[in-house]
This record gives sequence, structure tokens and C-alpha cells, in this order.
Amino acid sequence: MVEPSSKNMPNLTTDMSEDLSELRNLLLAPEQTQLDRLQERLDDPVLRTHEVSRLLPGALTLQKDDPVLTAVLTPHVEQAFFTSLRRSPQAIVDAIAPIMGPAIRQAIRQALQSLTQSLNQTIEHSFSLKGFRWRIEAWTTGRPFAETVLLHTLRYRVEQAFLIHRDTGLLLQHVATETAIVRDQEMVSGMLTAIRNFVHDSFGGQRERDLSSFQVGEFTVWIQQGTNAILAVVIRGTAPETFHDVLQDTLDRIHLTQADALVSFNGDASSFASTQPNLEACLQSQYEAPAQKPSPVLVAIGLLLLLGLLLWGWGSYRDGQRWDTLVDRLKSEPGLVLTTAQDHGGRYDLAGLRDPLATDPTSLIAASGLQADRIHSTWSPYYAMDPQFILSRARALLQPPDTVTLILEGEILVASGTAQEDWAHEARRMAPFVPGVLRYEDKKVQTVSMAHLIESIEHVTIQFASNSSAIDPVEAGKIPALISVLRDLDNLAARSHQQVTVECRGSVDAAGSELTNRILRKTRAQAVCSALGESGVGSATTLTTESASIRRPENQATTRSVGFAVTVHPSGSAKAGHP
Amino acid sequence: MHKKICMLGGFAVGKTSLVRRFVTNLFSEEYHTSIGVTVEKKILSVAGENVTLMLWDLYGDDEFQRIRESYLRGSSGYILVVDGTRKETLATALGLQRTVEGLLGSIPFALIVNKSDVRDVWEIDDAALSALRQQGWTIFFGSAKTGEAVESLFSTLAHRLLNQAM
Repeated sequence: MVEPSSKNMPNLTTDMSEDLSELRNLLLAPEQTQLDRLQERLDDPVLRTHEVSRLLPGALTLQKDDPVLTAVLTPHVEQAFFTSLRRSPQAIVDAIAPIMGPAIRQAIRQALQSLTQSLNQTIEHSFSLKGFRWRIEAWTTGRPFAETVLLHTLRYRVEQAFLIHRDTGLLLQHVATETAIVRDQEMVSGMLTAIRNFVHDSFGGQRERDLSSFQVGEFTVWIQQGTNAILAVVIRGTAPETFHDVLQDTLDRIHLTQADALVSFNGDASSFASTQPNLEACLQSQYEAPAQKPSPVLVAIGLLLLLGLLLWGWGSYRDGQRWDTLVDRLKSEPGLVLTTAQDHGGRYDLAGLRDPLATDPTSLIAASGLQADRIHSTWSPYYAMDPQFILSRARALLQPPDTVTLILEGEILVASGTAQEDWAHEARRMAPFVPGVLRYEDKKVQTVSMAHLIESIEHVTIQFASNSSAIDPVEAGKIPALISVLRDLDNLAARSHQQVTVECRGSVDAAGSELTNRILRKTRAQAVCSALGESGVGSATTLTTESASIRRPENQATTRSVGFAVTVHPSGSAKAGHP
Repeated sequence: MHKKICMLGGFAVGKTSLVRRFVTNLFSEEYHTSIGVTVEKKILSVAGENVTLMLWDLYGDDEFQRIRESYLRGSSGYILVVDGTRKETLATALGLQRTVEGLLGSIPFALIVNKSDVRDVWEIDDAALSALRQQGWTIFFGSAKTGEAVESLFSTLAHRLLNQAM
């Protein structure tokens, strides 16, 4: 073997180094590659950022309960939040608006409801007598009028609600209305529990015998018992029994949502803040509903019905009065005998007897004011025996001339006066047939004939003063009697179908001229004819002055008078001339 | 944080006087004779945290040592009050302690020997108290009249209650 020379040593060293390097490469190549990659990852910030971003969510999730992480992040998050708020406030507004909007609306609505209720009550009672009394009370007590009104119209108002831990008596949550007088609620809670325990120990013994309510002046305290908590409410006024259900529901809900917190309660009530809305829902109130004002239409209908009822009542009363008056009138009416008078509720029945000469009942009914169609009347004929009816009946049947008078003496019909013979004869025959007349007497009747009447007429003269055609008052006194006789004559003539002509004949004395006398005779005759004709002497009689004095002046008496010449002739024949 | 504390002790040992020294009262003392308890409140600051102590001041009754169990229920701690001038009140307090422990288990409590302002006429000697201290009792000497140890009594108990809660 040859020792290696010194000059060959560098070559040897170089070769060994290369070998070692090669050997290392052969042995550690994979690790080296990994190391290089790791070095590259560590040195490359971009690559590291990518890797951290992948790991960060998982890392934060793992450390979610770490207070250190929270403490470290809080200032950064706050800073970021404020920066973001400054840069784009609208984005924050948009984000929280859906959450805040309903809450704000709810708060405003509650405030408005409260205000409206107060206003309504105040306005409603402002002008009433009651309102005036309350105004005085408000003035004397110093309370605002609106509050006084609310207190008086209040049925009940839950003013406070206490949620109390059952065992410790510690207050878990408390809510109260704005107007409630709240003393130290924690001490009240403790004392309430003490009193409840006292009552339970003294009078109870079983759980269901716990104190459930007590009353203090105008307040009532209701206590709803739960497994771990008690709900006590302070009520002004009288709440309905159904409100117990509200309290029980609330307590049940709280027990459900706060079950763990109630069991593990150690004096920290902060976790019960979330029960506040439940308790606030218990702060209910109810006021007297305003008196229901009836609909104007119903009022009008009611008034109309009342008016109708009054009118009907008045009408019934008035008809009743009229009916009674009519019945009285019919009963008192001569010639009527009322046998039936019945009122069938506005329909009437009348029946009775009626003398033909009596007043017609129909006219009495018409005059009563009752409606004729509501009255049914039946009248049977009969002869009334009253004297006036017997006389009327006699006159109707006998038809006596004006010169005859009929009277009734008991049951005897007595006639007097003058009458023609044929009437007297007929009357004597008919009178016994007059109902009510037992006997007829005509001794006082003087019978007359036509000749007798003519004679009576022609016997009369009307005297005149000299050269006068005016009838003086003494002579005028003869005229009525003359007229009466003329009428009797006319009556007789008419019955015997004859006509009468009465000629008035004027006369003068010897003094005066012929012409003057002729005129005077005529005017005197005309004056008397006129005087007789004024009252009428009958349809069968004709008064005339015609030709009398002209044709036969020589036959006239030489007296200042008017005389009469009567001629009778059959009806329809020409008037007979004077003989 | 709210805690219920009961004040226990024999008749006229000064429970109510201690409480009244400590709190502003709201309810009438007449509740004592009517329902046997009044409830008072005191807010303390313990380690930066407000603690509200609801003090149930129970009416003392030496003769029968009767207490209403329902009043004790839910208590986080209690205070036993002894009148230093009457030895028998210590025995009453010991009896009460046993009763409460039987009902509520081992919960924080403290004992205060009242009337330290007239210590020269005390009947209770240190030996008896030392024995209790050795059992782990927290004992204060205080006076409702001068206010001595009243604040420390309540704040010490409040501290213990909080520490126990944590």
C-alpha cells in the first residue's frame, strides 16, 4: 500500500466532502425538502395569512368562553364599531331600525293610549254634575282633576307586581305604574314573605292554605303561589276573579322560562330582568265604561211608540166617553127605548125600539163623534105613548086646518076651532085609529061651508077717508080675519077641485069729478087687494080689481069703501064673470 | 346580590337595637309582637360589589326558644346575639345555633356579645368564648349603644357569604 502523499491530501478532503454531501442527500433528502417548504411557509407572509384565515374561526370557537380573548377583542370591536358608525351611520340605522322601530312604536302607542284614556275620561266628566263634584274634590285635595276622574271611574288598577323568591323572600323583579306609591320594594317583599309565612304557620299547615289575598283600605293584595316563586300584585279597586288566571299564567310562564335560575338562585336577581314584560302585562286596569247612549233611531222609534200608545190611550178614553154620552142620550131621547148597548173593544152594538116620529138615532150617532161604521144599530118600530107623540101622531093622521086646535086630555083627543064639515066628519072617523087615543071629542068644532064663507067675505067692507086710497089703521085691523076666512075658502075650494076669484070693488062718495072718482075707486080696490095678497090667501084663490068700478059705477054704493064679490068655478074652467 | 340574614338571640339581648343601629327602619317594631319578625334592609359594598342584606329580625324567646322555622328558610347566614351581662343568653344562643344548623345545615354565621360598653358587669367569661373560637366560631364584642363592632359584624358576614357563593 502506498501512503497517500501530502500533496494529494486536498483532493482527498474534497472527495470526502462530496461523498458526505451525497450521502446526506441520499439519507435526508425528503426531510430536507420538507424543511425547505416549512421555511418557505414561515418566510412567506401571504401564505401564512391564508393559513391563519383558515384556522381563525375554529380557534375563536374553541376559545369562546375565554375571558382573556373577550377582554383582548373588546377594545378592537368597540373601536371598529365606532369607526364604522362614523363612516356609514346609515348602515347602522338600517340595521337597527327593524329592531328599534317596533319598540319605539309600542312605547308611543302605550303612552298615547294612556293619554287618550285620561283625556276621554276627563272630557266626559267635565260638564256633568258628577264632574262638578269631582272638580271640587280635586280642588280640596290638591289632586289634578284628570287624576280625580280616573280614580272615581276606576274599577280596578294593578299598580304593582312583585316576583318573589319563595324560600328566601328576596325580590326577583318588581314593576309598578307611574302613579303607584312605591316604598322600598325589597323590604316589602321580605315583609310580605314574613306575613305569608306567619299566616301559613298560624292558620295553614298545607300549601294550598297559603295566604292568597288581603285588603288594606282601597288596596287589595293578591298572592299567586308557585313552586319556587310567588307573584304578588297590589290592586286598587276590585279586580275580576278571572284576573287570577292571568296571574297564574304569568307565574307558570316565568317558572317555565326561568326554571334553572329559580332553582339555583343565590341572591343574584339580574337574570330575572327578562321577566319584566311578563310582570308589566299584569299591570292591567279597567275603567267604568261610559254609559251606552242609545241610538237616535231607537230613541225616535221608542218615542213614536210611546206617542202612539198615548194617542191610542187617549183615543180609547175619548171614545169611551163619547160612547157613554151617546148611550145616555139615546136612553133619554123620547120615542127611543134602548134595549142593548155593548162595547166590543171599539166596536159597538146598539138595539132598541123607535117611534117613527122620534128623532132619528143615526143623526144622534153621527153627532156623537164616534165613527158610524164602528156602530151597528138595529131599531124596531113601536108607538110611544108619550102625550106629545100621541098628539103628533094625531096631527099627522088627521091633518087639521089651522083653525082647529088638538089637545090631549088623558087618553081623550079634544078638537076645537072652526073647520069644514067634511074635515070634521073625516076626523071623527079617523081619530079612534090614532095609537094612544082612546076617544075623540069635537064638540068645540064649528063646521063651516063655502057659501057661508063667501057670505062672510062679501059682508066685509073696508072704509076710507074722503078722497083717500090709504087704508087707515082701524080698518086695517079687519084684514087678518078676512085673510083667515079667505084661506079657509081657498082650502075648501082646493079640496073640492074648484077655484075662487075675489074681486075687490072700490066705491066713492058723490063728491068729486067722475074721472077723479074712477081713479079713486081703482086705487082703493088695488090698495085692499095688495094688503090681502101680501100674506097670501092660497093657491086656489085669485084677487082682482079688474073692471069692477069702470063698468058698473052706477051700481056701487055711494060710500068711501071697498067691498068684495066672490065667485067659485071649477078648476081649469075659464073664470066666470061677475053677474 | 341579595342575601337573607336572620338575627337570632334570647329575649332582650339587643338584636333589634343592633339592627336599628345598622339600618334605616321602614316597618314598625310592633311587628315583633304581632308576627314575631321585622324585615330590614342594608346595602353594603363588599369587594367592589353591592350586597343587599335583608335582615330578618326574629323575636327572641328565652323560655321556649321557639322560632318559626319558616322565617329561617332561605337564609344565607345568621347572627347570634348574646347579652354579655346575662350568662344564660349564651346558652340560648348555643341552642339556637344547633336548631338552625339542624334545619339549614352549615351556613355562615357570627356571634356578637352585646353591651361591650358595660364590660365590667359581664357574666360571660372569655373561657367559654375561647372554646367556641376554637370550634371556628366568629365572635365579636360589640355594643348597640356605642355602635362598636356593628359594621364589622355585618360586613364580615357579608364577605363570608360572598366568598361562599363564589
